[in-house]
Amino acid sequence: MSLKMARRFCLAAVSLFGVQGMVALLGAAELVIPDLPSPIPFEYGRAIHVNMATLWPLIGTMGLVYYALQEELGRDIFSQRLANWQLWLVVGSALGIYITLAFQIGNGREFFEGLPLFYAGVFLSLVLAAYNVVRTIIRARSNLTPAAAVMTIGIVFLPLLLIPNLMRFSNPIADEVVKFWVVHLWEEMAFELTTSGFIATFIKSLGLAAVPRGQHHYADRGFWHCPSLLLDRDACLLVGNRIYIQHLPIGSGCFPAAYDLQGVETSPQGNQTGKVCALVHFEQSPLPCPGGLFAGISDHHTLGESLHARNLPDLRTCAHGCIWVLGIFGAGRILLLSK
Amino acid sequence: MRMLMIIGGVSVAAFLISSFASARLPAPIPQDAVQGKKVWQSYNCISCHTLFGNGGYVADDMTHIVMKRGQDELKEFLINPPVMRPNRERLHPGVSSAEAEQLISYLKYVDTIPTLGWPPPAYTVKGGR
Repeated sequence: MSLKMARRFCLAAVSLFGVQGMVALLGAAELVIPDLPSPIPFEYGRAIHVNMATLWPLIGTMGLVYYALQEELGRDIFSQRLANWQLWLVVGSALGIYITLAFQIGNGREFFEGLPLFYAGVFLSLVLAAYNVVRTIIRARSNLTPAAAVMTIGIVFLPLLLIPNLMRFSNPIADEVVKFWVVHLWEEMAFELTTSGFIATFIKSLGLAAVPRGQHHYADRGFWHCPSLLLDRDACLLVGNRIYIQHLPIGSGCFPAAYDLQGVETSPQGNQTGKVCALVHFEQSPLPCPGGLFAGISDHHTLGESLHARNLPDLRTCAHGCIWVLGIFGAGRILLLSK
Repeated sequence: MRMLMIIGGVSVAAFLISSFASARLPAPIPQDAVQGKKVWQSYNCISCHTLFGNGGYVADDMTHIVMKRGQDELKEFLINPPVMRPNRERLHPGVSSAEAEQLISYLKYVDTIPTLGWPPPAYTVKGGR
């Protein structure tokens, strides 16, 4: 049954992706051909395109998690009915956004150009997804795997990061900051976590990793490489991104990068169980795993991107590039604790 | 599992508390600029223009446009919009005089925000035109 639900999510995501491609072609044609007649002005066509680009990966991720959870835990998700309602809610909200934008009705915030009511629908759908996933892993807690835990963290963070975007901010900086949480943190944190868990599940389902009988959760030890390497890749991309956009001092990226590399080196080597991995990691790391997430998210917001920092650009820059990146690594470190 | 839930709960709580605390901070933004932001959003300007480097790249970045063009020139542009090249007939969206003033007030406020030199000045690539 979970696979059937996953197929529906997949179909919705692929359909939106296909339509997005057509909208993009039409928009590009309007830019190239002068005075091309178009029933939808370019600025609203682009808004539809952007919102499709945001929502099809989201819908696909929901289906991906349902599929992978069933594979990981060997049992169906908590509620098929809830998943079905959730699918219709997110698809209905998405269609509401596209139709109202086609009639030039919107809110004018990039990536949130539709009416806030429809994003509340998306949020509710995500809450249902998170509830369904959390209940699923609670029911299967005796057989919980790191991949399933990681995917759960990813799916829980999706609605959390969306919450501030349901509010209206008159200050443009606050507006940019909360938008950033979805535009970047969805992609580079929540989606990365769900995808990392999925990659681990996928590799196992291909038979590339053996799972000894009765030692299911220990067999995942080798998969620390997947999320950790993904996070390392993020470190390079994000630090580079910050240097380009905000003149980030290059040294500020070294500490988190070194921290994460240390994690990759220490966790899989010579340890018999995940718990030993976690203990080794705690002893050798300069910052405990949960501290990374805690410091990263709260400090990034309160120090780096809050209104306090509006007139302190240097503080904002460093906090933005360094502490926030550390937050991502902190999220990755929860992998170790999930064993 | 228990540790996971504890850490997750603490992180989520810290995240929410810091979010709401920051949102309540006093923001010295003039009322006209607040109205101007609404005008900016109601015309979906971000689809073509950028602010702080974010937005559409079809048209100019607006972060420091008030400093570059001046308020009178901007107001004239907004009230009597010109043809958008390469089109021959299609005009830039126009606004009322009151909306133009509010929008300019918003862009004046945006101009005061420190951006560490963003957007970078335009330059010609060697061999380019």
